Amino acid sequence: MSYQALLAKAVNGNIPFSVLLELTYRCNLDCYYCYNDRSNGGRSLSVAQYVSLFADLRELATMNLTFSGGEPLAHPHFFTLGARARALGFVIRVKSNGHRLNGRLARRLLNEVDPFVVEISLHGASAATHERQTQVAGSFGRLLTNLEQMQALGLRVQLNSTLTAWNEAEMDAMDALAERMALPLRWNMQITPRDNGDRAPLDIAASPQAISRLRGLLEQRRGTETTIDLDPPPPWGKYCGAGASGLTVDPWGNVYPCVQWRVPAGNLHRENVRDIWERSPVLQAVRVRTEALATTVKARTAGAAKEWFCPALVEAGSGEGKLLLGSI
Amino acid sequence: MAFGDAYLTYSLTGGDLPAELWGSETLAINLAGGPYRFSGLAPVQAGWVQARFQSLCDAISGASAPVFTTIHRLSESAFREIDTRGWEYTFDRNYYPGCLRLAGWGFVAEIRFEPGLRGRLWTCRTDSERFAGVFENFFRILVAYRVMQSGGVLLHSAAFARDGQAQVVFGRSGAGKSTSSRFALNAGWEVLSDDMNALLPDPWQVEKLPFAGDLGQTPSRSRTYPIAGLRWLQQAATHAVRPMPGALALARLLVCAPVVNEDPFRVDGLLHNLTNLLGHASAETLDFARDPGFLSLLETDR
Amino acid sequence: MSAISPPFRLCADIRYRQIADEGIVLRQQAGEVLVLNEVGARVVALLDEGLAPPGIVARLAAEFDADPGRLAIDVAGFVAELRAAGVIEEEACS
Repeated sequence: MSYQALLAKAVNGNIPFSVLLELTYRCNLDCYYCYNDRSNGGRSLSVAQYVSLFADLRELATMNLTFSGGEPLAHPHFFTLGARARALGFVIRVKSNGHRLNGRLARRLLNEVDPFVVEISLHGASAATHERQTQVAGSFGRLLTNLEQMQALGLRVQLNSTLTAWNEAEMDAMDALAERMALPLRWNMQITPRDNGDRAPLDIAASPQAISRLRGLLEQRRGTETTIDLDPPPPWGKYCGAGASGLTVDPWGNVYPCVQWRVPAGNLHRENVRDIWERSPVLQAVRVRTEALATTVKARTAGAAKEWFCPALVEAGSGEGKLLLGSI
Repeated sequence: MAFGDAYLTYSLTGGDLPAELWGSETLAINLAGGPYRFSGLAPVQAGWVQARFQSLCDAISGASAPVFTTIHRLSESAFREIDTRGWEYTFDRNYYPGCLRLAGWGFVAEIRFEPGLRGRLWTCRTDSERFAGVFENFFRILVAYRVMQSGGVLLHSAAFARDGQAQVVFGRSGAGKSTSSRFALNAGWEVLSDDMNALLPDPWQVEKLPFAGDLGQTPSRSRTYPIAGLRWLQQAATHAVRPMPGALALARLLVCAPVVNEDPFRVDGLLHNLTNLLGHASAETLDFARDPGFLSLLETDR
Repeated sequence: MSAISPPFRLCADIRYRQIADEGIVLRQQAGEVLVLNEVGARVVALLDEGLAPPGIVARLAAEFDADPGRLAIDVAGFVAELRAAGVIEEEACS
């Protein structure tokens, strides 16, 4: 069986293969378009609660564990948690702004956490553009230095960039920068509202022309790592893996079907993740929705390759999930 | 809410709490990690402690105890009235590198981490029923930290012994610790505790703690037993013992090591102790079908 | 198969999970994924639990109601493949 077939098995069989943990909403940068809802609060999960979560996820066959945030390295127990996750055999991804990942800390990350990949956010090809987003002077130069040090240590690094009105003129230069550094660059074409519904980040959405141009560039590169956004929906029984092959957990223990679908399915202060995964009515409803969506899309667009869209974003934008099905 | 707001009528700042002791009674409780010396008790408070812990209470000798706590008077007006109907009781805790502060229903406390522990407990309670709750809650936390300081772990667990060795089963609430303990008791095993035991190193031994659970609350100092088996208990259709990878065992043990596992400054120390424990005795999963048949699986250890 | 079979462990670079009745092995450095069938997944899981090959053969013979002699040959061959692929290594003797 191929890896893709195995992923399909996870989605169709409701196996939480990939889990994303927002360890903290603290961050040492202040990106304008950050989607975190920092007004949201609660009681942080303790180290023991995280470790219990890891043990439960291992038994639920979770393989991929992504540490995100905010800035995950800003969590006071990042390295303890990373080491525990490593010991339990997870494939660890770290999504970071790279600002703190100098040689010493990068070495510690490699030795103690041993991540599969560190995904670093790049906002432009120049200090002016990058720092316009991060709102921290000097962050661009520091990032480039840190990237070199990470590479020298042998960390696998991937650059993640979101196309915005601020960096669309530097699209080619960003590609060139990534190529010079011999790092893969994964593009995201879509800015999302903040998780509290604040649509201010959409003010800097890229122009339609820039999106179209990027789409064309990525189309040319179809088959490489950077073309995920353009892939048609995979042949799963559900439209996506939200609540079926993955979960997201926020710093307060709230469990969501995915990073975008911000309807809490449960809270780890009150229940363990197995009980949430098996019994949450929210997750069951999401699975039913994505299954219905897959059937509808397939029936109404039979034979034509279609660009993928995020059901959670559409639902958030329309305010009503059923409209999603009716509009196709 | 600031620390203590749920329980106190005024804001706490360093040095605000009075030094006045309740009385001049002193006693020590002798159990895992101790003796635990308490000073400044009022006679009625000391009387309750002696009645509760009976033969575990020792006469005070000249030797200093590794854990020393003074009991201070704080007026009732310092504490909020709490409507306990439908209330879930959780303490306020404030963690610092060098100490821990606690606030609860009718008390405020501080535990300083020195060589040994230095505790201070402020309470308005002298009546047996409510002082019992204050003292028991505080003492349990003190023991958890002292056992950790001693290289061991306070573990939510059942422990039962036979032929000079003990089996330790740990697991979530409802996993079957009390049920398995009853089966063991009926089959002639000595049950140390069905809820809370102290595991201490050099060499690794288990000692019962007289805190909670349906069995083993008798406040007598039982002998300690070498640990023959460490088993994560989970309900299943049939009994079985299965190997458990070390990293998973560490995770499960951490969850069952209450109090210290929530302390961000001392959880690494706890992990260190648990790693040492697993170096001595590897853990296994015990699938438990809620009948006495599991005992034969434990017999094969001997 | 040698008379005394050493215990094995997963190499430090390996990440492994069982997904339903299949197994997925990731060699992190190389970024390579291996997908194992039901029996292969079971062998790796038992190796990860610390069983040596003779114990694995006994367990699989019971679970799959299979001929132990045939299984021993298959397990030995598969263990050799896993070693060659850098998925498992011998436990160091203490």
